Amino acid sequence: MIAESQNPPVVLIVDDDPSIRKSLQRLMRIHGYAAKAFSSADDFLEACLKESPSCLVLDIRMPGMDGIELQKELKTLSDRDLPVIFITGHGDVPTSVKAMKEGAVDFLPKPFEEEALLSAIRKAIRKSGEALARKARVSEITSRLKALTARECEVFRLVVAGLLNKQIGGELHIAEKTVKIHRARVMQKMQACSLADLVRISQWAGVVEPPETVRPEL
Amino acid sequence: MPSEALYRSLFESTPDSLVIIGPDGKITDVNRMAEDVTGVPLNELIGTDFSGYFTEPSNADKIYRRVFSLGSVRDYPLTIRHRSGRLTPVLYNAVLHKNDNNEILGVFATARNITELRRVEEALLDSEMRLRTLFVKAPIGIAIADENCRITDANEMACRMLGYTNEELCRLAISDITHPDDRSRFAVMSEDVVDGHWAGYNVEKRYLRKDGSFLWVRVTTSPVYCHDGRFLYGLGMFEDVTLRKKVEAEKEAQRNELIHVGRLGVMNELAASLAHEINQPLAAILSNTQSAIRLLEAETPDLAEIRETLEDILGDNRRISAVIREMRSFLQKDESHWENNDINQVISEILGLIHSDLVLRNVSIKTLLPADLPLIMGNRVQLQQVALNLIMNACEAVEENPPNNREISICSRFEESGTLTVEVSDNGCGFDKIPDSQILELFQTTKKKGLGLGLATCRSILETHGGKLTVRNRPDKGAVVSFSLPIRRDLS
Repeated sequence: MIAESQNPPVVLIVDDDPSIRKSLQRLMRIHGYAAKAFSSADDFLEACLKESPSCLVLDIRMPGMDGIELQKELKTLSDRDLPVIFITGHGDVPTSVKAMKEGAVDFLPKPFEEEALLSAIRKAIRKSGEALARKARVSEITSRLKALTARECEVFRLVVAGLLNKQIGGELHIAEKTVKIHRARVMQKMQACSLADLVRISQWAGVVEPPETVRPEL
Repeated sequence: MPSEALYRSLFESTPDSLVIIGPDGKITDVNRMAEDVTGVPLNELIGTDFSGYFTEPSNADKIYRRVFSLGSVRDYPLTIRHRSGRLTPVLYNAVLHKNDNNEILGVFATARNITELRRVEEALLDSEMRLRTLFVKAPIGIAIADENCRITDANEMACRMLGYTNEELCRLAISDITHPDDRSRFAVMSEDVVDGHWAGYNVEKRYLRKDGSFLWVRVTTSPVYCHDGRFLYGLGMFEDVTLRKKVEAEKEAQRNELIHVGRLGVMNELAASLAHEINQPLAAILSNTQSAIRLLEAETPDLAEIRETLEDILGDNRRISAVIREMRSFLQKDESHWENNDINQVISEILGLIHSDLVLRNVSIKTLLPADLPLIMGNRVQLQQVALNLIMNACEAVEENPPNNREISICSRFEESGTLTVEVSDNGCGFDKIPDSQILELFQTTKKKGLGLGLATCRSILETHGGKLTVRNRPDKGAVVSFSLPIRRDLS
């Protein structure tokens, strides 16, 4: 699913301990990941990040904003909503449960085995790549959507809502023949090869209201 | 020529009894003293046998004859019997009595009344006996030593306490009965006393018994000098304080046990953050080791990178060792080791140990530890314990503050009064009431957690270091707990 155009994966590390930062950066580099390390949550939030599949290896205990707080903060920022792998030198159950509930990919107590971290990173990077691909597709579909005329938009919405051409014509007070022409244009502009494809595209885009809100009129 | 009258008055003026005896042993003349001592008037004495007035006439007769053979007799003790029976001890001195032609006319004898002398002698003897008895039978050990610290006399109690006979002790020096550990200290002190630099001392030391066991004594030593300032002898009086010492040692051991338990307690609270302190470098070591293995697997291994990796591993290893070393030294049980300490270093070490804990608590620490403070004599671990307790207390006091406003500051300074003060202040909840030292009572606490052993233990530690602990609230918010220690303190 990861698009070929995507940048190489990046592992971001936030830990206040310089030994940890240096050793993890080295390990990541050896395993072919680009790695960037930050000594605090604030440093990380201020940094300028390139859009690429990436994940955050985050220490829980840090001076200032701690890992859990940063994890929450990230959800509010569209450009840093990254999969998080927590690492901690002080693994307590309540904290790990909290972290996992907030959607952490993994929770690794220090010291951890290389493979445990790598598999978590692979999983996280994959998630991130998927999210990026999804994001790219959404923006692609959004731009296709912009090419539709107002009438085509209406036809599109009613087609994916499951209405027949005749019903659409009735709904829009236009001839069934005209509906067919609009429908063909929609299929072409949205680059859909079938009705099912068009429905999927509409869901991807999320720009078309769910069918349920249209149905009651029937 | 002096007249006969002059001789007569000289004859009568002497306090001694004077008698002139003829060659036949009969008295020819006496003075008034002779009449007094015999109770016989002059007229009755003249013509009588001289020896008849002594308790041992034959002896008197013998001496009288010896004058003829030797020419004189000096200080021969005899006893005159008074007519009433009263006896007078005398010293008999006699010379031959000759005329101008050197013809012997008889013996000229004087008898010096030594009754008073005898009385004084007897009184002295009696006094000496009583003092001797006091010395010998005294309920404390007494020994006398010469300027070389060799024992010259010792009483019964001293012998009993040390297990030697008097004769054996008199062959020993003070150092022979002094515990080896106390010898050097004692030698210096003795020298000072003998040299007159020191008017004696009162110390507790250990004596060595004949059987090799030792006893604790409290010794008071005083030098005795001649009127010209010359050292005559040293007098040592000592009592057995072994039992008291034992009780004291037991109390001390209990106190130390409590202090040690206090350290275990603090460490227990810190266990999680100490684990963090170790896990952190352990994690780095693990990653670096795995990196090194991967690096070695490469076709042309990057040796520089491998080297750097190994050096990083080494560094983290040392970090762990340091944490463990600090922990071990903090938990050790030896409370007796005293040394000179840099108080700033003591504080810094503790801050290093609890670094993770402070991070977890979101506490920010400010320190003002000026360099070149004088050293403090004391038990390093106990001083660390005091510092740690005060910092941990401050951490708990700021717990209710918002995370970005938990401040503790630690400062050390040298006071004009010759003490060193360390202040730990916080912006926390402060003490509810500080009317007295109640807050320091054992098991009393304002804390929600813990037994409240902390401050009481601190006070106990500081007392043995001659220092004190003070507690006050800050005018705005929070509290200041400070302790001060004297710069110089004699080892007790």
